[in-house]
Amino acid sequence: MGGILVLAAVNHQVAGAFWLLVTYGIGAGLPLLAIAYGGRVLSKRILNLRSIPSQTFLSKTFHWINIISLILMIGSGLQIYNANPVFGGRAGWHFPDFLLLGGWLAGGRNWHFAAMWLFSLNLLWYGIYIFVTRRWQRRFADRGDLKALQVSQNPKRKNYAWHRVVYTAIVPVLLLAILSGLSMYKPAQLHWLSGLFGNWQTLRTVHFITVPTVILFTIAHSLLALKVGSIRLIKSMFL
Amino acid sequence: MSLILPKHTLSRRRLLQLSGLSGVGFLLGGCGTNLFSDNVRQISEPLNERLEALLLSQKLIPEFPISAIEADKLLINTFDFTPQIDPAQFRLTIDGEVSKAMQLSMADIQKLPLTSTVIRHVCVEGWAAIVQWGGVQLRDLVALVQPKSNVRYVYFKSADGYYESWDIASAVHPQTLMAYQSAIR
Repeated sequence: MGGILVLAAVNHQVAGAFWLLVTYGIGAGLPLLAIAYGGRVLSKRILNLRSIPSQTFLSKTFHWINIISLILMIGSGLQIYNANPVFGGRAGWHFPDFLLLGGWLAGGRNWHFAAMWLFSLNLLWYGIYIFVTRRWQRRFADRGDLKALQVSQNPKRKNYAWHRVVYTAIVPVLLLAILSGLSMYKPAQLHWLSGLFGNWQTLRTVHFITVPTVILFTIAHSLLALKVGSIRLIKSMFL
Repeated sequence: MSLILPKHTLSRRRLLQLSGLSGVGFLLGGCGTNLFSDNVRQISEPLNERLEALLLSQKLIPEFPISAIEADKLLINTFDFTPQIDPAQFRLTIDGEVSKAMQLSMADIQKLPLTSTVIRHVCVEGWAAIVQWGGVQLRDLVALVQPKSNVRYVYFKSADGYYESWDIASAVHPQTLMAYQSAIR
């Protein structure tokens, strides 16, 4: 892997090195996945251990891509933020360098407008998947959860309801991040969309607020998942 | 030195966790630099340009009344320094893939039809201000120099060293101006 990076840095063979890196990733990843899934099938089917919760491959893929794309979007977004802070303009508080991605404004914009495809298309196909498989009918918060939050005396049922309510509530926030982002990405072409946010400062603020919201959500979502299904539930979503 | 072996050897799950973490670390290691941002642009730019072409139309975007102007919000940005331009000496050079390359003086430019507009001026830095600009429609200049049929982009170079390129469809939009006056300052 070091050799590949040297190739990219010294010989400027970036495209070649990129494909080598992809090949390397697949070459290293496939056996690891085979071991991981093989191990699970072994423990489940053959040894008949049913204690490990399981998630569909698409749910796991969505979670991985979502986390990676959000890290890229937030890092590059804060880089753009620093060019002219939403709060206070140039005199306003700036984010420290270690949180930034891209090196400077144009680098941040390059990353932001590349990772936006990863982020939004990931959300799109997952939405289609949830719609087509009708998971939205069972996997998201419903009236039963809201009722449980009000009247249930069972703490486990309440945690479960909170868990579902929280991860359902993040969906409109992620969509709002995309809509407010599009409004600023193409404000001339999409003036009707930008217009929905009132004035420009409101639009910038809304887009920015999705960052702390997503971070708080990640913390709450992880803690609730721990409460509901312990570390095994979290592992089942990522491994 | 202890001869007792460590209790925990590297398990499959631990290895997967560590490889994930080291991947994130590798990613974050590049954060302070713009090492990969050009590579990322090379991959995403063709896609982004297609989206832009899809969204762009020659329809007019809404303009604002003069009372909406936010003069205090317009920041004066220059690349390195603010150039001192003598209007009598100024020449606008348009050349490249055009049939009639030309140099225009300020007087030549002012003879072309003046268009004034109050629009929302949006900066790549993220801020915006409703401002008034007056100038020549860029499509008038494009018509004068007659670009060759294979031309897809316009490249701008300004007196302070700033440069920018635009697709030709955006450049000939009726509200794209080469502005030379503003009521603000």
